[in-house]
Amino acid sequence: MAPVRPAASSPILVVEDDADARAALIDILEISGFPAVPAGNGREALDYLRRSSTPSCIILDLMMPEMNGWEFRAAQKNDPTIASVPVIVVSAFGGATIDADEILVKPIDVDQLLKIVGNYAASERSE
Amino acid sequence: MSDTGNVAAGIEAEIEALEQREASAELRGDIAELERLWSEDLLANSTSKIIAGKETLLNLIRAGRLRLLRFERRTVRCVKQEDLAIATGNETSEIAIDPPVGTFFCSYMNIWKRQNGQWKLLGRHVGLISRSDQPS
Repeated sequence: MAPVRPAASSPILVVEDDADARAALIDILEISGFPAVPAGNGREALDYLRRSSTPSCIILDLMMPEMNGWEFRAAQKNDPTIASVPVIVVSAFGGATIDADEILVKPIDVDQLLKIVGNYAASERSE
Repeated sequence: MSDTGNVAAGIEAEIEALEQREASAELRGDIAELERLWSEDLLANSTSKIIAGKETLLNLIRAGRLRLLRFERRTVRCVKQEDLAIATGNETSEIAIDPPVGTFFCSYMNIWKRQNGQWKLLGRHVGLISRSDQPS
């Protein structure tokens, strides 16, 4: 079995409207030692961020109902209490233009995603 | 049937048997059998828009996060060249999850490679064709 990484002290917020994709991401993060919480769109993600502890990073889909990824990102950057949370965008569009810390194109390479998430969790632990 | 036809039929039967053996192991969550049948370099591209390797997939099964209530595979066509074989067709599946998410009907393609005399699943792609809201 692959080594399980030490759990991050803060969860990873997974913002994805596709229930299957969201569940798969959360399952993979959790079995890899990263606690994760779901949000079905940008509005739910903002609500979570404003009432809960700060996540170590956010995995953000772009095309979502109610509040899409671009709208979420604009709102996040305008709120100083959550603006600094790192954002990993996962997009079906190779040429997606959005200000984010990382941009991954779907389908997501799990190994690549876990490496990025692990780096953010490690930097959080070292602070 | 010509000799060529017999050879082709023999290859198809061998690959088809592998396909059913692997599908049965997935349905039962048989880790030991999947360990034997899957290449260490397995890459799978799933309907969840995720590319995962052998260890991630096995860990999901071990953790009970990928448990199938139903899994039926129908191989429509296969081809073999030397130590590579490709099989493609369709699969019907139901995942054990609460609340139930219904029945998935997917196309699939599996790539098998013979390594040290054993066929190993090296690549797998699954694409959603349709989905019913209710389990069958």
